[in-house]
Amino acid sequence: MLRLLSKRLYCKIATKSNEKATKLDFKQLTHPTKVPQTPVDAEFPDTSSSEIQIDTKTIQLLERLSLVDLDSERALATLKSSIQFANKIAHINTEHVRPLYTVLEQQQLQLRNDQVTEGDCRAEVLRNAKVTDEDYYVSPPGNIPLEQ
Amino acid sequence: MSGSFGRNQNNISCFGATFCRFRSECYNRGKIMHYSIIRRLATQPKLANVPKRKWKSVVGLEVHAQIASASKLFSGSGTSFGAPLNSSVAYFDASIPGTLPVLNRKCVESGIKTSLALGCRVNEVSMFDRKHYFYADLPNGYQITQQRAALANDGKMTFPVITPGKKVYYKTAKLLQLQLEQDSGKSLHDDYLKRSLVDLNRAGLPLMELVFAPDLETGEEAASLVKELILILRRLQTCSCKMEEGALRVDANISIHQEGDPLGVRTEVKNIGSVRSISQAITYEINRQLETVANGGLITNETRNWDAENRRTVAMRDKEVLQDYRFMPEPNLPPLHVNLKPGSISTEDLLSVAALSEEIPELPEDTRQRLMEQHNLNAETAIILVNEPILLEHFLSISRSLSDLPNKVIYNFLINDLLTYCNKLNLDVEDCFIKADDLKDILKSLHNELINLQAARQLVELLHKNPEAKVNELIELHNLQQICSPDEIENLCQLAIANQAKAVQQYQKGKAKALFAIAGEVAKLSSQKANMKLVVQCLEKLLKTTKK
Repeated sequence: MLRLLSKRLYCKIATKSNEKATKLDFKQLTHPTKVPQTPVDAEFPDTSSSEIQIDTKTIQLLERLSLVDLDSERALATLKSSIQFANKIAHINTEHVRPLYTVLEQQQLQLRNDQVTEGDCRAEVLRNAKVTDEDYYVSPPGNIPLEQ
Repeated sequence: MSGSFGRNQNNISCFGATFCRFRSECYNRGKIMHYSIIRRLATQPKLANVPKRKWKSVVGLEVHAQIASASKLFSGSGTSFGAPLNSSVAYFDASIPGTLPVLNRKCVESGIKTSLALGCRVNEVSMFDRKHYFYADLPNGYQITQQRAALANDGKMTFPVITPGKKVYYKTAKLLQLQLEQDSGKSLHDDYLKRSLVDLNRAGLPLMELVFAPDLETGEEAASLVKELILILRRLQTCSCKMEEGALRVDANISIHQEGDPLGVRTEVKNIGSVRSISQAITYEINRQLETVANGGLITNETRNWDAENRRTVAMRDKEVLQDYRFMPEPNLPPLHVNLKPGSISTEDLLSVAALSEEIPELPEDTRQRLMEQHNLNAETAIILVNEPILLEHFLSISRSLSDLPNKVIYNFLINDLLTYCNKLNLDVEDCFIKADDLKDILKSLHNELINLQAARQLVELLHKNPEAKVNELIELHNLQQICSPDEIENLCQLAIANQAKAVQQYQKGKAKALFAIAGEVAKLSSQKANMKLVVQCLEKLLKTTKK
C-alpha cells in the first residue's frame, strides 16, 4: 500500500514537471537552418507505377556481386521497389554540375612521414581468422591457371 | 533518343542500297565492254596473286613498380622483403573495422619525381578510388587506386632497342598515366589440399602503376622499354626494380591485326618475372595468336599467365570474363593536392612539384649524350656502358684517374673482356666482385706493356675467384709479365720459324696471312706471354733477312 502510494506520488510529480516544460520555439534558433521550413514540391517524378523488369542474367550478376540471395518472391519484390525508388534520381538534370565526391574536397589531404610505426601484431590479426596454418591465413583456392 | 536511332537505321539502308547499285554497275559495264577479259580473269587462280597483307603485332605494357619506402602506402607497417609471415601487417592492412588510410608523403614524392623524369604532366588535384575484387589476399574487398584523376598523365619514354644481329634504334612509347595504388597480399596455392595460404605482408605496399600506350611491336621493344625504365627508376631511387622480388612487375597487352585493319582482340599476359622473359613471353604470345588465326581460330579477350619453366602462356581460370570493378570514390581520402607554382617550396601538407624537380639526377639518356660528347664514344658503346651501370662507374672512374689511357682501351677492355667474361659465366656484371682499383691496375699494366691482353684476361679470371688479391702480386705469382726483351723474342721467333717451315714458305711466296700462323706459334711457345707487337716486328725483320 505504501509502495503504491509512493509510485503514485512519483507519477504525480512526473506529470507536474511535464506540464511545466516550455515548448521550443524553432523560429527563434540562433543559427538559421538550410532545411526548407515549408514543404517544397518534390522535383522527383513519381516512379512507383512503372513496372521494373529484370532478366535472370542480371539477377544472377547482382547475387554474385552482393552475395545476397534473390531467390524468394519477397526478396525480388524488395529489389524491384529499391530500383524503383532509386530511379527517381535518374531524371535529375546534372548538366554542367561538377560532381561532389566528398565535402572535404577543398581540404588538404594530410600526409604522413615515411616511418615504421605499426605492425608486428601477427597473433592479434590472425586471431580474426577462422582457419590458419603456420602463420598463414587459410582460404578456399583462388585464381590459378586453367591447366593445373 | 528515338530520333537518332531512326536516323541510324536510315543510314544503314542507304549504305545497303548504294552498295548494291555499285556492284550491279560494275557487273554491267564489265559484261558489255570486256566480257572476254572477265572470262579469262575468272578462270585464272587470281587469289594466289593478291599480295598477302602483312600481319602486325601491337604491344602495350602496364608496369607495377613498388615504390622504395620504409613504410606502406597508407599504414605504418614495414616493407622489408622476406619479413616473417604476416608480421609487417598493421590493423589497416588486415582491414580491421575502424582503421583509416593515411597517405605516405615519400610515396607521393617518389611518384612525382618519376612522373617528371618521364615527361608527365603532374595533376594539381588527383583522387583515390576503390577498385573492387573479391580475392582472399585482398581483405578489404577493394584496392585503393587512382582511376578518375591519376597523379600524372601524358608522358613519354624514348629508349634504345637492342636486338641481336640488328642495328640499334630508338623507339618512343607514350606514357598514358602514372597512378599510386596499394599492392595486394600474396597467395600460395595448395593444390593438394585445395586451399590458398595468404600472407598479408605485401598487402598495402606502395605501387606506381605506369600505363603505356600500345606503341610497341615486338618483344624486344618491350624488353628494351622495361630495361630503360629500370635504369631511370634506379637513378631516381624510387624503386629497387628487383624483378625477382616482385618489386617490378610487367603485364603485357598483345594483339595482332592485318595492315590497315583496326586493332585486334587483345590478350593480357601476366606474371612476367624478368627482363629476358618479357621478350620471350611476348614473342611466344604473338606467335600463338598468329598460329591460332592461321588455323581459323579466334582470339578471345583473356588473361594468360607466363609459365617461365615451360616457356609458354597459359589461360587463367577466374578472369575469363571481363570483370566489373565497381569503381567508386574512396570516401576516406580527400583529393590529393600538389603545388604547381614555379619556385614554390614544399610544406608539411602540400608538396611542391618545382622543388621536387630539382632533386632529379642525370637520366640515362643524358649520360649517353654526355659520354658521346665528352668522351667521344660512339652511340653503341655509350648504350652498352649506360645499360650496365657498374661498367659505366668503372669506365668513368678509370678514365678520370688514368687520363693518359685512351678511352678506347678502357671501354674495349670493359665490354669485350670483362662483360664477355661475365656473360660466359652467365653472371650479372653487378655480381662480379672485381673492384675498380684492380681494373685500374690491370689497365695500367696493360697500357705500360708490362702485361699483354691475354694476361689481362687471365687476371680478370683470377681476381674474380680471389677478389682480395693484389694485381701486382698476381702478376708476380703467376708469372704473367710480358716478354719484351729483344733477345728473348728473337730466340722465340727463330724457334717458331723452324717449327713452321711450311708457313714460312707460304709467307715468302707472298701470302702475308701466313705470318699469323708463325706469330701464333710464338705465342704458344711463350705460353701467351710474348709481346705480340714486338714479335710481329721481329718476325718481319727475320724473314726479310732470310729472304735476301
